[in-house]
Amino acid sequence: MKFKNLLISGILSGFLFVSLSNADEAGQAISPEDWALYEEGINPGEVFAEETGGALFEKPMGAKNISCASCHTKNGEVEERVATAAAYYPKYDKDAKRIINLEQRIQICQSKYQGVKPFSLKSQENTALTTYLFYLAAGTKINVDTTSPEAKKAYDYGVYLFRLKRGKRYLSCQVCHEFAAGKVLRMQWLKPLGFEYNGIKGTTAADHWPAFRMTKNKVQTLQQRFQGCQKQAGQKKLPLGSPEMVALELYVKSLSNGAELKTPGLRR
Amino acid sequence: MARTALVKIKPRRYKKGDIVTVSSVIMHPMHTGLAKDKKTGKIIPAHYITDIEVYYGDEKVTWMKVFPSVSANPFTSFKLKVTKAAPLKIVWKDNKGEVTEKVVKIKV
Amino acid sequence: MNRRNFLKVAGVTASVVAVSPVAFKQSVEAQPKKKTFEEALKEVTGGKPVKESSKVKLIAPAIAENGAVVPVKISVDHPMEPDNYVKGIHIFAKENADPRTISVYLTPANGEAFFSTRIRLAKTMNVVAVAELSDGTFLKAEKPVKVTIGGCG
Repeated sequence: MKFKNLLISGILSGFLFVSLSNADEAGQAISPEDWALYEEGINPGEVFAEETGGALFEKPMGAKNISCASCHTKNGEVEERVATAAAYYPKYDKDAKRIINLEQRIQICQSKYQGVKPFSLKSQENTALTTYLFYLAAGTKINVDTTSPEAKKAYDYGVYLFRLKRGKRYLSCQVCHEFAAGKVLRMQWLKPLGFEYNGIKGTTAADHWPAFRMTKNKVQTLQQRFQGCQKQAGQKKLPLGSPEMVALELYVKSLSNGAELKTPGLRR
Repeated sequence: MARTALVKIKPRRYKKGDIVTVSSVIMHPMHTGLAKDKKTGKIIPAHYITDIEVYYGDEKVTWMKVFPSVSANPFTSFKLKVTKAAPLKIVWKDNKGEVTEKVVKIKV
Repeated sequence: MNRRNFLKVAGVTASVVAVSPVAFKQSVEAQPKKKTFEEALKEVTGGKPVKESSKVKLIAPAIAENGAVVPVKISVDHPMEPDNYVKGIHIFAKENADPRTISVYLTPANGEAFFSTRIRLAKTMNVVAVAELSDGTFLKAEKPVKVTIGGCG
């Protein structure tokens, strides 16, 4: 059974990449110089972070009429613990009693401390607040815990999910981001998600998410991006905030431990 | 109803006679009027920036005629010779008559 | 190996290539041509001749990351003096429904003839930058830009 699976995915992978490196466009993708042109302008994600996210951070809510800023600013500046928090999530949370990501922590703050129904993980409000915190944390080195008992469990589960082949095309994250890394898929580079894999330079993906996606014209969080990947790979989307997605996020983010956050990013 | 817009001047420190780069972004969908809403199947009505005007003090120094082929959240960047301390005002107008203004002070 | 299973899998693979271009077409490409490039150019030049010139530097990616956002940067090697300056920079996307994308009108107060923006390209096509000088002459530069169908999303 295992051999058959390997054979299928091997043939499938071969099929995918032979059929996709077609005609005269085999192996071509954007050059680093041309990509630099994108980075020269203003990133709409920054405007979203500062204006939309920042405004929500300062908006009083609930019966007590308090804002995030009411608790988390000192002398007009956001306190360092919160301004750098984005670099350490997903992590174990005492209120939730499990590993959660930053988007979920914002929800807990809203329901427990502001006393309001939290913005859903799908909402642009939650994404804006998350992006604002990642924007404040830009420059901080990512440091996701993978060794404490709860974190290790989530990390191992994340690795398992990353390598799990599922869906109608029988693909796993690993197929594209490790086995096929360095190849071009429909004029887009396939790259490892950490620093490197098998000598191929990675993108340290977690250091530039949330990112403004040009083709979607909005900022997306890392888990929202995972859902996009899953859809494209022919897999059923995993729900935002589910133990599976949090485990995947923890694993993928840990691959960039040590990299400085450059958020919000800019992506196609 | 004004839209969110951001104006940046580079470099941050300049003196009289320098030429600076003025960049800006206005958050605007720039609907061409040709695309369909994926969920409803209906055409999304045209809604896009048509004009941008730049005033340095009282003088209109730069202006643009904008068409829907400009990307959403229009980004524009041009140069300006610093000759006086005066407000630099950028005005965006769209086809529905919405106007947004953003002012930054040129200080010398 | 189960032959039925293999074919099903192969069939889905083949459709991966086919699905995306259609989706992309709907959102950007499938527009009737409103104006030819020649008509669009005439709107700006009034029919006057346009000369190819190395003084017009047009920078755009050889392969664009996506068709929705393509950075374009133009600088014109020409004075910006009160009686001799670049009074307009016009950017055309030759194959778009309306090839006109943006026209910027400059004055000597700008100091330098430079303009940068981001445009939409419906597909692979040439981008043309036309500089309009205060003496009424027009100079141009042209560059092909490849627009990808789109990788994984």
